[in-house]
Formats: sequence, structure tokens, C-alpha cells
Amino acid sequence: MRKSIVLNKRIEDIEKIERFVETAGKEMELEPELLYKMNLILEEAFTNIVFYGFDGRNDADIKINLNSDNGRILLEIIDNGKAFNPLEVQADAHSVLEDDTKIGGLGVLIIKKLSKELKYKRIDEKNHLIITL
Amino acid sequence: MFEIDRKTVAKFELLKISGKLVTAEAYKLEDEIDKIISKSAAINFVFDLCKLEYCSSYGLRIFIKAKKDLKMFNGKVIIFTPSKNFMELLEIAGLEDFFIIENDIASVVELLSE
Repeated sequence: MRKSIVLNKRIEDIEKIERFVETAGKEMELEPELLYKMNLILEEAFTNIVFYGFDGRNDADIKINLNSDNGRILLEIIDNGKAFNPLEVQADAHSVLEDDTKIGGLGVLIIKKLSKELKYKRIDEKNHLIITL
Repeated sequence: MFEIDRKTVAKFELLKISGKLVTAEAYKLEDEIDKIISKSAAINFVFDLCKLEYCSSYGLRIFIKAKKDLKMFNGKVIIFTPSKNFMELLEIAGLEDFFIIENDIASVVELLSE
């Protein structure tokens, strides 16, 4: 089963993510714990895109794809913001406490810890963050 | 999405935060904390988080910032009866030893009376 959502570059769209996850959870009969993780990962990824991805540009194109296949959940977050590979971010508690304004630090740490697998690709000027849960 | 219930106790401000602390709304908590600190420098905060169902990294940063801000006034931040989800978040972030965590109000009062 596959579901998608398109978002605007405004932080209030976090509410749409929550509704998207809730609906997908019902349709795909997913466990509440998995939905909690999915919600947190998507909020952190989306927040980084909105806060740091566009530098005032107004042509944001943000999409989330969710695939469920035999209990395996695959999330793909696609955006046309500036290139940002979270796998290259040094994310640990120490760096977060030293500089809590560091771009993406704490959010990336949460995404990494909650994911089984994380991949990043830059295709046609778009970031693709692929997360296995 | 979340509610703040504030009580001023002799040695501390008790803020019970319930619901979901999402990034889009967390600034309201930050504003409330800043307002309290600006009115009274010598202060301790006790955050009752037993009903906090969800907290984003932005929300977590607010507690980190409160602790840093109060340090200069020798104030303390205590996380009181954290929810399971909030404790897990602290563990994920590697911050479980950064905060004082208490589950008993008598211990809180004793700690802040020192």
C-alpha cells in the first residue's frame, strides 16, 4: 500500500503530517508505537527542510511517500531545497549541548536513532531521504 | 495541541505540560518560560511531564535552553514524573543525565530547599 502527501513550506503543515500518519495508520493497520516513531521522524525531517532548506525561496516542493509492504515501512521525503545530506551531519548529544542552534543536530540524531536504515540521494536538484522503519 | 498549567510554589514554578509539544506551537512554552524568568531572576522550574504525550526536538530544546538560562541565576530545572515517551526521547538524544529527574514531590522540595 502506498500513500503520499504534498506539503507547503510552512511549519503549520506539521498538523497535516499528523493527520496523514493517523489516516495511514488506520488504513494500513499499523501499531501505535510505529505511528509515534513515524510522526516524530517526519516532523523532524520536515522542520529541517522548512527552517533551513530554502533561504526565503517561494518555490518549495515537498512531498512525503509512505510505502507499507509486509510490515516493512518505507518513508521517502523529497524536497527541492538546497542539498542537505543528514548522513553527513555529526549528530550527538555533546554537540547539541555545545551549540543548540546547530542546523538539524538534534532532529537528525532522533531520525538516525529511530530508523532501521537511512539513505540519501540528490536527484534532479531534489533531496531524497529514504527511511526504513 | 498542548496545555500549560502553572502554579507558583514557595521555591519553584511548577509547570504541568500536557498533550503534544509540536514544533509549530512550542514557541508558546518558550514565551511563557521567558516571561517568568524576566519577571523573577532567582527561580527554579519544575516541569511536570506525566501527561506529555509527544515532544519534538524543538520542544526538547526549550527545556535545554531553560536549564542553560537559569544556570546563570543558580536556578534549577527539574523534570518531574516524565512520561514514557519523553524519557525515551531523552535516551535517544543521550540527554538522560543532563536533567535532574524526580518522581517524588517530597524529593523535589528537599532538593530545592538545599
